[in-house]
Amino acid sequence: MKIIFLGTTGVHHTLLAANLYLTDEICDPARMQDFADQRKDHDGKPIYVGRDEKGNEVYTLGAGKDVLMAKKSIEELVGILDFYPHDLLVKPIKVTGDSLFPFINKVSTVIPSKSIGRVVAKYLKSTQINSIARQVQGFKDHYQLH
Amino acid sequence: MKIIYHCFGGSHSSVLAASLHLKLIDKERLPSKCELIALPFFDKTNNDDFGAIRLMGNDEFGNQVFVMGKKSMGNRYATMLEGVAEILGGRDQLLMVNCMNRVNWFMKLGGFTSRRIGAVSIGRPILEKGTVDAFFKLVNLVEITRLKAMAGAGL
Repeated sequence: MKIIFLGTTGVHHTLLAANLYLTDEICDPARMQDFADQRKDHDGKPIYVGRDEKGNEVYTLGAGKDVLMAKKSIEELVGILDFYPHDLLVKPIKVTGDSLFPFINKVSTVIPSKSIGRVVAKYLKSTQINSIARQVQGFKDHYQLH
Repeated sequence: MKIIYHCFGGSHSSVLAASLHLKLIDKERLPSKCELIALPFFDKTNNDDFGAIRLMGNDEFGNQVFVMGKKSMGNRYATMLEGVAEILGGRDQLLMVNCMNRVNWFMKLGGFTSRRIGAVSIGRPILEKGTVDAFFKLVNLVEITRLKAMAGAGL
């Protein structure tokens, strides 16, 4: 099975959610591999994060401003390609201010700076981490991914 | 193979392209207004249809032809779905076709007025003029797509 944490970008809150899902630990986003790396998010393909203990592959994906529309398309595509719904689970991750993250990625392409990523990391860790943890836990409970 | 024609609303250019692909409409001559409106889904979608991948039919080679509206998400949306197909192991089954580069301003304005504002009586004539103007550009896109699909299927 594949699991995608879907959000406005694949390198901010979704990456934090994927790491939380895999490790059950709240780590410093700024130290995560690929965090705020807009090059990884640039082409719009799923970003591989790791494998959980059951062997499920975990990805993040940045869908831009309309995450729920993207979720619908992805889930319909799974059926169209003759796969089963449980072959791919999509979990949208929503945090306050996430609509700004694609813009931050665009700014980072023009002005490469680690400080922008550090500001986002600090914001997520200080104000949004509980919300992300709740969303990840809810997802695990719903699909019994413990 | 699964062929998905996509545009802003999944209601006009993608539907016309899919209809041309499926030979629901003659590619040799401009369609009449009645023929356009009679096409399945043409100028008949609403906001709930954004992101939905709707089946239009099967072509003579067994390819399934779909339409989809992806708002102003650009090519990134197609890349995203291709990426998802890739991780599932179904990338070679999927052909995404962007119709937006064949769309003119009359189609955009007419489509917006008819579908988003809901002023069908105003938007539809503008849309029909734009569709007729873009018709042979869409015919060209469909011809290219059919060749790609045949090559992909090893025909």
